[in-house]
Amino acid sequence: MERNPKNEKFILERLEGLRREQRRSASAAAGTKQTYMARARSLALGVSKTEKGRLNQRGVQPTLTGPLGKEHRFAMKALISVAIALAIALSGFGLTAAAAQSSMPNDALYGLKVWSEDLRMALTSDPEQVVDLALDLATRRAEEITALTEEGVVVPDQVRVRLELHIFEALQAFTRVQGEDVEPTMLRIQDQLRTQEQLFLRLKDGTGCEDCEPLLTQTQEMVQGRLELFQQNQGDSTMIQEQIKLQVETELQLQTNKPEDAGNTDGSMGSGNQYMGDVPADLDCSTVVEGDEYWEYCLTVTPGAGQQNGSDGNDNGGGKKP
Amino acid sequence: MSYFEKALLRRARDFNLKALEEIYDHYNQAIYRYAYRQLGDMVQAEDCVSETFARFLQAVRHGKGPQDYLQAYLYRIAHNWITDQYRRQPPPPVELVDEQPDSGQIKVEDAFDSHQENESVRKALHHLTPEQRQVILLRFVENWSLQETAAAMEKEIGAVKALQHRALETLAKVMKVKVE
Repeated sequence: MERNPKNEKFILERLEGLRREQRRSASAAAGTKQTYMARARSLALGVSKTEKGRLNQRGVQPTLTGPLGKEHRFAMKALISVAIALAIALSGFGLTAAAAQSSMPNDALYGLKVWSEDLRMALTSDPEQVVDLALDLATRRAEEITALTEEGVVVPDQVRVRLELHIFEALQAFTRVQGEDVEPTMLRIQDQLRTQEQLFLRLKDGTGCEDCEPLLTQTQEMVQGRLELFQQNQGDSTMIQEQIKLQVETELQLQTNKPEDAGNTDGSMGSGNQYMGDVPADLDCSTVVEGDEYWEYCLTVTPGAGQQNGSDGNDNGGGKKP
Repeated sequence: MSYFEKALLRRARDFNLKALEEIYDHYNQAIYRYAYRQLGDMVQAEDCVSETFARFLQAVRHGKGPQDYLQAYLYRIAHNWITDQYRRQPPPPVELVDEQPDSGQIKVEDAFDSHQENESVRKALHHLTPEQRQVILLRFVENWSLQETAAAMEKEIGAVKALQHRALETLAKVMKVKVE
């Protein structure tokens, strides 16, 4: 094979020009990283207890006190020191609020946790930041559902309702994003929904808790319904944003009309905030009929509830899936 | 493999979020550049980064992923994704600007740092096979050594050299270089 040095020199000099060219959108780059980290966090939730307890490379179970656990012991001591210093520095309420962040549904401080989340959301106005915060809160709800399900504890319905609310808030804020931020924001939401859908499918298949399954199914179907909004106009972020805007407006309108026309709902909003904390954790909407105490609540959270309970197929039947 | 890569990989296999973040911070820009230099499109290049690291996460999560040569592994994923993009588009005609030297002297000083000029180079690269393109880009655009390129392509060094030579020959034909 003969080489032609002059040819090569010409080509390599052209390639040098290619090497020097680089353009990247800072916001798109940040969006891609956020999507990656959200995906990593969600996948980390699915790491089973068996996997967490797996042996390390030397075939030894690492412990806090064993020779292979020195690194963990040091990290724990440092963490404890930092926690004590923080506790001393904080005021009573601040300490309580901070402690509430790790509380779980059914814990005494969970209400404070939820309140602080609502406060953060109320203080955030930039659409992209709202999207990120809403997705972050949705991840929190997913973590809570995962933790409770893995312990065999039936998840209170209010957790699922809040998850649905956070997703709706993310979609609503997305409709206000403009310009070159639309695409990366859309991808972040889409990735989060995909990850959550997979998570709930996995939880459903893996849980030994039969009573947990209805909520997991409902949650997975809700997430799947939202994901379909992105898959209908694949690749066209502008079209997708328009479709979502329409969907959000429709759902808001339904929410507004709900007190006047209890039957006319597709059950897709499902925020149910007015019932927060009052709904029994073991409520089975399939047994609730019109006129019962939780009839209106079930209409908002259970698609097709109106039809399930024997309403006729007229215009006010509602119950359509999103 | 550097100590840095080894340490990161070990922690990443434990699905340590901090390690996974460091991996992303360390390599995402290079993967973006690699994709952008070939595709010339910011959105596509960003998609490539997103998909590369998504596949990396899935692989690690399921106990697969790289045992060594993390950088080479990430580039392989990116390369495969970019190759798929190329397959969806037919090779465009190569429009070259000022390509015909009149006296055998090639004046290249004015031909650089021009997006249009780079577009013509990208179009020329489109005419190479995926492996030829990978060799050219890794060796002469990313400035990798033969060993690093061979690791990324999972080939012997001799095979990489042969691919490189054929790639340069093909590029010369496509770009219609006429030099004395």
